[in-house]
Amino acid sequence: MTAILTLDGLTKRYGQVTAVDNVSLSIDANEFFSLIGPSGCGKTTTLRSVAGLESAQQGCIQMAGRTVFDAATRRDLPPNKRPIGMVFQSYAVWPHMNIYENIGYPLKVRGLPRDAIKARVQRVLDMLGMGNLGARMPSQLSGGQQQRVALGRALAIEPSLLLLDEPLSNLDAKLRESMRAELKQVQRDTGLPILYVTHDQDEALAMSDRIGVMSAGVLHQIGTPTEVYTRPATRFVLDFIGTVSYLPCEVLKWEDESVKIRWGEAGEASAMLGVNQDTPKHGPASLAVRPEHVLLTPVADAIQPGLARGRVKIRAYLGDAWEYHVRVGECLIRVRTDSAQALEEGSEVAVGVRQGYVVNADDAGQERVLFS
Amino acid sequence: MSQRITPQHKVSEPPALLRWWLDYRRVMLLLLTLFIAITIVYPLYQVFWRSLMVDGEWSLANYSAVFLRPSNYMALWNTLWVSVLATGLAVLIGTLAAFVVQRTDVPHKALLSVLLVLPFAIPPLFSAIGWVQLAGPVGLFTQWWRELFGAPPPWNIYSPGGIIFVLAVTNYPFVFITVAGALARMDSSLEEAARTSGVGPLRIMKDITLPLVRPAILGGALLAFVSSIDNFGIPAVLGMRAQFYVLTTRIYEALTIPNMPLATAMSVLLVLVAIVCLVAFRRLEGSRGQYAVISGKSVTPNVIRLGKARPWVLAALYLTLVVIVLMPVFALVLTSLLRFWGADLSADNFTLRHYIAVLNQSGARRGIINSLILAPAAATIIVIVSAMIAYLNVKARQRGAGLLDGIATVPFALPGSVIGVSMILAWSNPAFGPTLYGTLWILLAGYIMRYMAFGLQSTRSTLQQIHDSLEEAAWTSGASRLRTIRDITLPLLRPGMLAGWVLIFISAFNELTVSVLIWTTGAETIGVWIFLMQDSGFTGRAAALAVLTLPVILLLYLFTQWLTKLEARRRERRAGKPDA
Repeated sequence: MTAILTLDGLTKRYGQVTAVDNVSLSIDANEFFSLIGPSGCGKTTTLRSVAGLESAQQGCIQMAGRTVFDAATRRDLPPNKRPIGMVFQSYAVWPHMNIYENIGYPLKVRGLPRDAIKARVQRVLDMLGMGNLGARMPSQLSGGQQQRVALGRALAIEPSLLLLDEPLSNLDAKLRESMRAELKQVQRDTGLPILYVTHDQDEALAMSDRIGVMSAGVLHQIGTPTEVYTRPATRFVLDFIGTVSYLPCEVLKWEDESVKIRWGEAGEASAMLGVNQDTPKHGPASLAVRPEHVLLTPVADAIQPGLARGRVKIRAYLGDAWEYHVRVGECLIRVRTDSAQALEEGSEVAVGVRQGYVVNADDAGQERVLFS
Repeated sequence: MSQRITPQHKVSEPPALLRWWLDYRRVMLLLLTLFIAITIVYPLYQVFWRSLMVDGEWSLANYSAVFLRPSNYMALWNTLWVSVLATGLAVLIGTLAAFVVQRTDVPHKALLSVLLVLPFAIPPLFSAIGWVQLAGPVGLFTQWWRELFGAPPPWNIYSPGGIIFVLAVTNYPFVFITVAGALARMDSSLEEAARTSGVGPLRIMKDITLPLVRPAILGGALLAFVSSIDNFGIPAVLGMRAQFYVLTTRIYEALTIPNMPLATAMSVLLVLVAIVCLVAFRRLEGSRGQYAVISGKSVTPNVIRLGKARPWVLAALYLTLVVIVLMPVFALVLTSLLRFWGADLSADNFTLRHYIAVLNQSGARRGIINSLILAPAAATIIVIVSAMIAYLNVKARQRGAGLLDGIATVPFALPGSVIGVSMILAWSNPAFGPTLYGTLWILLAGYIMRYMAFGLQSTRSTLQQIHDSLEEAAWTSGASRLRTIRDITLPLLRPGMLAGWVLIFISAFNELTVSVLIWTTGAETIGVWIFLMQDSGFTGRAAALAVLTLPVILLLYLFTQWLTKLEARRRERRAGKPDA
């Protein structure tokens, strides 16, 4: 596969703040690539640099085999010279043009004949299921329809790359879910590579072929949704993608393919765990666990080695599952069990861990993760 | 799908430094800076610099001259106390009217609101003439009083009291609009909280509502005050005959002598008065802290039921409106149609001869034509220039454009007399370029300086409401910067530009304070002619000319009202998006 978009060492500073710090990535043809991170992490700045709306200080950007930005040679094509389509968070549907004019504008600017524009716009409208709304003004459309118009406008020229800046964040939850499926379908149909920016991890996990996780301008990890969820490269990725709770533990013994740790109050427990080279070899550490990897059993059953004693503080019924906040020693951990198992608030439970990540106890700067 | 459309690009780039300078933003900023420097900074510099010069030497002699002659410093003192009292009266009328309309169950609220702000559309000079015809020595009210009581009335319109009264009934809409707006937007839960604590409605007004709208009252008062010290027409018509001078009329007198240095020094004093008052008001506003409670929508405000008093309150309101708003206009119209003022209202006393006289007078005709040229010309130039400044400032975020915007807004705080004096200083014997004094150009320059802020205000606020992404979407759609401005920015900016244009047109069309100082034979305006005719005793003709211009002003005024309503409705529609 050939890369449609390549970023190499992209760096963007605003005064003292480095918004994008030496980011490199590449997107293949047909790929749905998401950049995810908390607000202010630099994901939007990266996207805007790709669009040409921001100029970076270092690095270079190649698009469809052409260099569109290169800090070294001071080459910086303006957005209108880049083969892109872009969808903005705020829709940015022009209020003084009707739907037809909105979608046809990129074609008109490129000097296409009237007939060709008409045919193309109609095809886009049909694809988006808005075939008869061309004459409407944007103020007559719902938020979801406006977002569809924005998408249609970006698709109209059949760009080499589609850029999406949190396009669903202004929609309500139900609509967001259906638009998610629709967007994925459009991408399948057109085969367009997409660079997608979002702070919503569900969105990113559900739609993407690959995900790049960013924080404070730094790209921490690039991988498939399964990879970033199950094999987080850094402590930040572990925290940001999904939910984790931390339990204190102690690394007792270190072997090639396994470690033995002690946690909770139930004495030693050995665990077969995959080993990351950077994990502490012995001494105090933390055991990070995901809610779905914790097992709860009523305490009537004996506490065995490898289990800890806990107490249910809060429970919440989610329909398809129960969520518990369980106090174990000094820690409060979050647990998710299927809806069949209902435990009373205040009841004593035995806590077991199926899988976890051993990380450094001091979360100061070290970011080391061990995965099972 | 069919063929991909990729933009053709041929890259041949000029050298970096040249490209930097050729950047359209820098070129635009440079040209606009030049424009503002010539039209605004240079005249301002002339006023302050010349006021400190005597025979080419630095000196404070001009200022000491102001204070050595009692007639001069009296004018400063008169300006202050007259404006303070007029503002006080305007606050009383405006606040009372706002409370009655917003916080009682008085009927006809929509009509009342329109009528109450109508004085905005009537030029102060017109009201001054109208009030002379009503309350002057042979005025209607004066006659009625005589018939009723058989004695001369206890008032004299040619007096400080007359000036204060007419200033107040001209300027109270500033207070009414700000206070009524604040009352309408006030969070009603603040009043409800008091009501549920068992406090009566009148007590709530006094303890909760009034303190909360205090900033709005102060804001309206400031506008009324600045408008009072700026006014020329009212003290000129009502004060000069009684030898009662304020700074604006004193400057006018000094220029007819002409004593340029004295006029200049008094202009600077007038600026100082304006600045001192501005600062004082800001202090007053700031000392209590700003309340952030006036926002959001009000549902059920605390309304006082008038009960049996309701028809009486309504009648009193209408009577007041008729007396202070409609009667002056009515008197003006009557004056223009009567053979002479004071004649019986019988059919053979009605005549069109004042109109015929005005239209046969070549000077007056020229004045009409000049105003019809100057007002649209000033409005067009200002709106175009301010749209460019606002674009550089708000959208292109060009460094320096914000400063330029600020400098161009300064004359807004300057009394018109100061702008008039600065025009004479700058353009009667300019350091560069042609002499504009004696031509229409100096009036155009004066109007541009005076109304630049109107254009900047309307274009700036409109551009701030246009989200950046609308332009970026066009840009990423393949449109160049220029094309984006043409296809996206300009169409969206047009309503703001239109509103600014009409506002400037109305203001410039009947401008007097600046014009009366810088007009010359051949370069007169409508306002100047009305004033001159009134001043030389041809009140009938002055009234006729005023009545001829009123429909233009009123129609445009109603047009702006309609525009703002339309804009508000459109914004509401946009805010309340229909959902699927």
